Amino acid sequence: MAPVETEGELAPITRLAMTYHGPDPALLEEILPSVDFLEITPDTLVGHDGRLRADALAELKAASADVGLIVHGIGLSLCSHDEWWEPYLHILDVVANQLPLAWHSEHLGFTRVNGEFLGTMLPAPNSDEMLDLLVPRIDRIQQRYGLPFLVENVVQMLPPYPQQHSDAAFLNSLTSATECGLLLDVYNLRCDETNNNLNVGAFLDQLALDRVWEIHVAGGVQRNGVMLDVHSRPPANETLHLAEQVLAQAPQARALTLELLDEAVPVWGTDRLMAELHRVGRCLQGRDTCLRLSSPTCN
Amino acid sequence: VPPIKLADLQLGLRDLIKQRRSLTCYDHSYLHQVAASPQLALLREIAEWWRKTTLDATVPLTMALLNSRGISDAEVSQFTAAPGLDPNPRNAARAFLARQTQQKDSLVAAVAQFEAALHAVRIDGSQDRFRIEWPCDPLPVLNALLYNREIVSQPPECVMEVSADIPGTWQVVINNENIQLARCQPDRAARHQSRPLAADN
Repeated sequence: MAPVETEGELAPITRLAMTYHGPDPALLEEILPSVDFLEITPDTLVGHDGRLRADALAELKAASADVGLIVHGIGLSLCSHDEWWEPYLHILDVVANQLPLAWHSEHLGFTRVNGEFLGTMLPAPNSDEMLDLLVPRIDRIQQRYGLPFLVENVVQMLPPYPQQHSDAAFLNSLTSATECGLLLDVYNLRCDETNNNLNVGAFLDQLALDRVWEIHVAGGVQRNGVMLDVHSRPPANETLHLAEQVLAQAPQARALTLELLDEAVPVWGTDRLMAELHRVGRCLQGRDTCLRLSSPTCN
Repeated sequence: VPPIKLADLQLGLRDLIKQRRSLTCYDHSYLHQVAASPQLALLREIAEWWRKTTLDATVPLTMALLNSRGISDAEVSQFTAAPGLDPNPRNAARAFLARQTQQKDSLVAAVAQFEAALHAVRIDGSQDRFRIEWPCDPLPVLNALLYNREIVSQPPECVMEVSADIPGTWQVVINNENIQLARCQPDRAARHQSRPLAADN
């Protein structure tokens, strides 16, 4: 087991990260000096032959000399009622074997039902049945890789499910039972706030924020009054303020990650991208001076 | 609202998203709520947008022709709802092209066969030789698709070959003068190439 553990009295430094779906040497050269972690998605590294692209792995291996690598999966379908998507783990096996990974994460959602791909991702319901299914699955993942494992909150695009637990209580139960960490996507929280009236303040008050290892920020668009989780725009000020609010209460946060759709990179352009990356990085200013949990300013 | 079993929830949502069945009084009230919600249509729209974006990038010729025919949205929608959808872009492209090669519109079928053959040869490294019958001269059609111009489908019918050993990987090997011969005796017809053309010109 490799549960997410605290580091004694010392809190970790929160680093800046960005999603990266290379190979894109020009982009990588631009962003490497400004980030501490690259967040990679194994599913996107698969080539035409169904195998991981050797050039992509080589590029990431070289980059790992300068930055940390973290994995954020989309293909496991962790919360499918029948079974998760085992082929994703075969891909992750290779990635974890060939690259030095700091930790990995997966969405608390499902993309497949009875093996059939839905074409979208739906969140896990906050039920006891879901918890009973997830706890042993997460235990198996942690045993398999020996790396810290995080789960991420997923946007609810549909009307809210009938719930047995609040969102925060469900996450608390899950992290408590498995000792896994949380990847808190604050843009997703804003989507749920806009679309389903999530009370973000109450959610954060109830959430065990000491389980938060990573925070995602992103920006998107609204369609028909629904805020979409598309990562096509720079994060709104409100999203960054929310990230700062969480950071102030999440002593174990290791990374603040800017999520960006591949298709948005040429639209933004490198200058805009770098400016946005630095804008996100400013959320971390002052964070390094607040390392000790016992410090009054951190309580 | 009573709880809903996980399997019932996920199978029900799958069927709603894929438009597989109508709900009955035995289905959970939550599924009825979803079915009546505007979010369901939006969710489908987004799923189809992702597929369309991927297909525009992976099978641009076929998608350009379907766009010009005004049927790309409908085709992508049916494709997204069909069983066997694969999130891998390459696999999705292969499956989409396979569907389009069955189109009654013979030009769509020919373009899809051509693009599938190009993928096989140029991406998958196939050593096979592919023969594609076109209902018209392919060159003006391909020009129009590549440069977003009006498609003018004009005779003659042609046969095209796609193979790794052809410079540029494809050429028009025969026109209507010998097409019947090509259908009956393809090897003999190929020796009477009427108009070899390189692909990358």
